[in-house]
Amino acid sequence: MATQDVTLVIVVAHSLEARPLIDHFHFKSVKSSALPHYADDHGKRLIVSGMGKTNAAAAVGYISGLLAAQTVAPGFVNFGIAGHGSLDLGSGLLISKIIDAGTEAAYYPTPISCGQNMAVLKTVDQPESIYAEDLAYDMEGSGFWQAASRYSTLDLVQLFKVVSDNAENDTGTVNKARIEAVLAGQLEGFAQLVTQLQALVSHHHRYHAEPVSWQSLRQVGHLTVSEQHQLRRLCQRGAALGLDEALLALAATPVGSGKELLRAVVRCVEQTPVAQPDKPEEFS
Amino acid sequence: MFSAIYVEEAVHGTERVQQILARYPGLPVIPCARYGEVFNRAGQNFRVQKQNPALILAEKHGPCVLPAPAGYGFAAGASFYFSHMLNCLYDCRYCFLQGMYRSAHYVLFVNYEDFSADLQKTIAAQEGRCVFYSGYDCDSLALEPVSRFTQFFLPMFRELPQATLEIRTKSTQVRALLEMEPLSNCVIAMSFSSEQAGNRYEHRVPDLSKRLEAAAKLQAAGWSVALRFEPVISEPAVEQDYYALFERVFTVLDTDKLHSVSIGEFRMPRDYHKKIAELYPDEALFAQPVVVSDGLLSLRGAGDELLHKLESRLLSYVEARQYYRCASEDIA
Ligand code: SF4
Repeated sequence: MATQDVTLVIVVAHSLEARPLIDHFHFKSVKSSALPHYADDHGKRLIVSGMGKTNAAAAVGYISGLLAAQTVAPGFVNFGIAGHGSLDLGSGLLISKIIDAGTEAAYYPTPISCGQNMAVLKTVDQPESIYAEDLAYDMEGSGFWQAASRYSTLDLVQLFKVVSDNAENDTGTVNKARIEAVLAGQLEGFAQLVTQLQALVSHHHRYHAEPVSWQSLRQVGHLTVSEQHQLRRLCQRGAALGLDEALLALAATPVGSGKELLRAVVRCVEQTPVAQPDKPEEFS
Repeated sequence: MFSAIYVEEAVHGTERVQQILARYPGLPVIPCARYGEVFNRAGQNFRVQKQNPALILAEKHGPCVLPAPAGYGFAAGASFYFSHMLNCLYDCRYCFLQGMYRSAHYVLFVNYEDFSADLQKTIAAQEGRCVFYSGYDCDSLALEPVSRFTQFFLPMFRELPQATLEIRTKSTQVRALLEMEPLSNCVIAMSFSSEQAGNRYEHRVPDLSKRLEAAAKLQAAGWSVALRFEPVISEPAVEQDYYALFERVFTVLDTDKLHSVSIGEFRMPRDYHKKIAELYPDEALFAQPVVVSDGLLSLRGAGDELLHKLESRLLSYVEARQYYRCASEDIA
């Protein structure tokens, strides 16, 4: 993985939700961005989408476009306030199911064991004032999920909500002070999720990293796009078989066309007797 | 063990589901309409999901019993398989389930009564003996304390002696079996790889010595035990590794009492191999040169010569009548 690869994008709807994260994670503003957008030194980005599911989806699309050159997509997490049918203000919730109130479609983020309470989230088009069901309510979740799970592996997409209003304290009572107070109480819990998610993403990025030999061999000879794909997979296989050095030696040997290079790489990968390479590192 | 439990709304109120949920009072329970909403989605990554798998409690719709794939198992004639579970607690790198399913979550079908009805109907439709394999899409015993699979299905097979049930496993969960009277028409088929291959490929699988101990206990209690040496993966020193395994296994188990012994090489449908190679680009097993025959892929350099050598060594321990070579890709 290149050092500048982004491993996690945090999407919030409002600048009030961004503020505590900017302070906590030491985010710095990214200039010349169409949306308020921040970066830290540890592979994270923060983007402020604006309210509603269309804006949330658009923000995911926008930042995915900016990161399109990465070999592997980052993970995504949506952070923000939500209403709830029964829970106390300030409760932190990892979302296990999202229901789009408009379409009735249900989506299921992959559960992560990170010690947080899990909850079902309903994404509504207008702020919820009745809290009819015993679940969380927001206005971005389903739009965020649908976009993020298209750009990334859906197992690397999560939503974390903090209860800011409920039947006793409805949306009319939500103000800056309330938002600051409820989010502050859940920053540590959210930071734990961020750490866990970034570890999963980094692991995922590591095993899809560009092989060392590919970086050298792609410079040798002219290759069509399809030949580049073949070469990349051959280099991955070579790396898995412990043949990096043999492949790097080919990069130092003059070869003619791209096809000749590919033939030489195929010979190396297919014909070198297989030794017993090291057991690949596994996450668990 | 599980990150959460998904429950299909239709089975939530059943006694079996309530018993399972009661075992895990702290786990989040997530309602869903059909298990496919979670299990069959595009865009999932089996490898990432295997870090935090969830349990899905669902109802099996459609036929519960299917004809066994050609070449699967020990018996000629009518043979079938059924899967009360999809996916496995263990994480064998060579397992074809990684290429077959998009999700690493465990699906447990809880409508055992429908399986039972289908099994009985299938048995009644056969003229002679028939065999049923369990453990094609999962490890049949690994989740026994939760699924209580044997406690439900074995009493039924006890009443149907014309049918044989083979339970394929790498598990040591044999307590429920040891607590019941052995069935003459039930075979516990335990899969073994050489210790070296086990260490390298069989993550989360109980230790070889513990599995041998479980097999010996079953034999001593009167259960019919079979041995499945598969998948044999061609590697340097593979013969010596397997010779050492045979010596160890046949020192512990009573060969005369073994139901059957089989051997099979590492093979897999080409599509599954492609998917798994994408999930595990860093895994040497899926980077090696391969040969494809009839859509099934095997490692180049493996094949008949190696299996013949292992076979002849095996036949110095067991009778030829006890032996067969597995002709289909196989798991568990
Ligand atoms: S090979 Fe068998 S024991 Fe191993 S993961 Fe697959 S089903 Fe489970």
